[in-house]
Amino acid sequence: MIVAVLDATVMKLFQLWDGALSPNLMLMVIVSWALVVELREGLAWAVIGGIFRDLLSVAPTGSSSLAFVLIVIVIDMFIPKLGWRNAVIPPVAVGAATFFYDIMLFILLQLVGYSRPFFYGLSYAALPGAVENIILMVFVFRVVAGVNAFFRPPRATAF
Amino acid sequence: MINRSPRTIAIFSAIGISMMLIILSLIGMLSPAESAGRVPLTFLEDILGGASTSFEGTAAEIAEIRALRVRNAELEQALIDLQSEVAELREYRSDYDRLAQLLNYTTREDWNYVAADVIGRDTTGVQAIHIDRGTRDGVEVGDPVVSEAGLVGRVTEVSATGAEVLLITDPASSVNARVQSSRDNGLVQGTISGDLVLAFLDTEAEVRPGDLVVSSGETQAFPADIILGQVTSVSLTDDELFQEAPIDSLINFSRLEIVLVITNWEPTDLSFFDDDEN
Repeated sequence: MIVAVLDATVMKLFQLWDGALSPNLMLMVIVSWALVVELREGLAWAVIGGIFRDLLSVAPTGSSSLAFVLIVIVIDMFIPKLGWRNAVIPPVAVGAATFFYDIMLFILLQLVGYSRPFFYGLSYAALPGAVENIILMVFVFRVVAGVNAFFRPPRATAF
Repeated sequence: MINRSPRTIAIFSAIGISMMLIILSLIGMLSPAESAGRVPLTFLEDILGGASTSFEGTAAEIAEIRALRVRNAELEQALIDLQSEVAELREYRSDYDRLAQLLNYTTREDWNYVAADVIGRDTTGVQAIHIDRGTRDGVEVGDPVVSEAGLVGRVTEVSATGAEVLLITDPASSVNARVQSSRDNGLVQGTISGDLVLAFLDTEAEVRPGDLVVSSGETQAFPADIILGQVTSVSLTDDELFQEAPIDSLINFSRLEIVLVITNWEPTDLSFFDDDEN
């Protein structure tokens, strides 16, 4: 809930220019979470986070949930657990996820009557949004991984 | 044989729940739950939105002090010019009032305004703002939203304590408009970059940079005579069927802090004309 509210308030401070998308903090948190936890937990957070995000937008409730769920599934399929220890993976994953999320939202918003030019929208909003998300992901991922490690310290291996 | 592992069940459950939510939301069955869910979010947004707006405002003010000094000098000169114009207009106004009284013509000075703080922005890239007034304050879906510098947008979603306002700068917004000086009609549309364009202007229309554009009230989506902005340039469209003119709004939409919702504006029912066509 807090992340959704931060998205609608504090994140607007990071807008690159008027009218463009601001960074998608919820997406960064969901992708980070999907990289460090099991699939089922990632899916649960994707659904819940998406609902809160949609409550603060004109998109139908569930739109962001569906996009986040598909992103979590793709991450689970293509990025093996602990693959995130490679520092390049989280920013690359969030960059690709940003485009996927924006395209999904574009289609759903189009269906409910919020029309906008597709390619111009992608280059004007999704591209700068992806760049901002990639940069901020370096910090967001560290925080999420830290929180996960704090609450779930790795178990000692039995010899 | 169907794979019924916990992973597969989790995947299909998550997709199913999301799709079910979308369908229920689209047909309106989630409206009461969505309204209730927005109440705590609006409360938190109010707190965090106020803090971030203050921070943003302070940072911007520091950066703009020099520009403001120059602007101040310009405005002082403009004030002197305008004062003489106001004196002239007062004369016209008294003439107008007398004539309006004779014709029993009523002006719309009886609008009820509800002042609202801007507490957040839409999170999906739609150019919309969140305000801290809702049905409890008399705000309803469709209410026009203005600021002291002109038309801001229209309420699209509302809960008990907050509402979402689709800005006129969104590509999904369009406002019937007219150029104040030449009385030429057109349609002010939003763009993905957050700018405004006066489109569908007749090729014969005499529009010049600096002309003021106001809402025309046609189609009754918005009240008439609310300022939309100033024409910056005029050009023919690619197909040369119309002229179009980028509009510079007097409102800085990315720094809106307080807006006014007109809560008692009732559009004239135009469905009568639709019935005639059938």
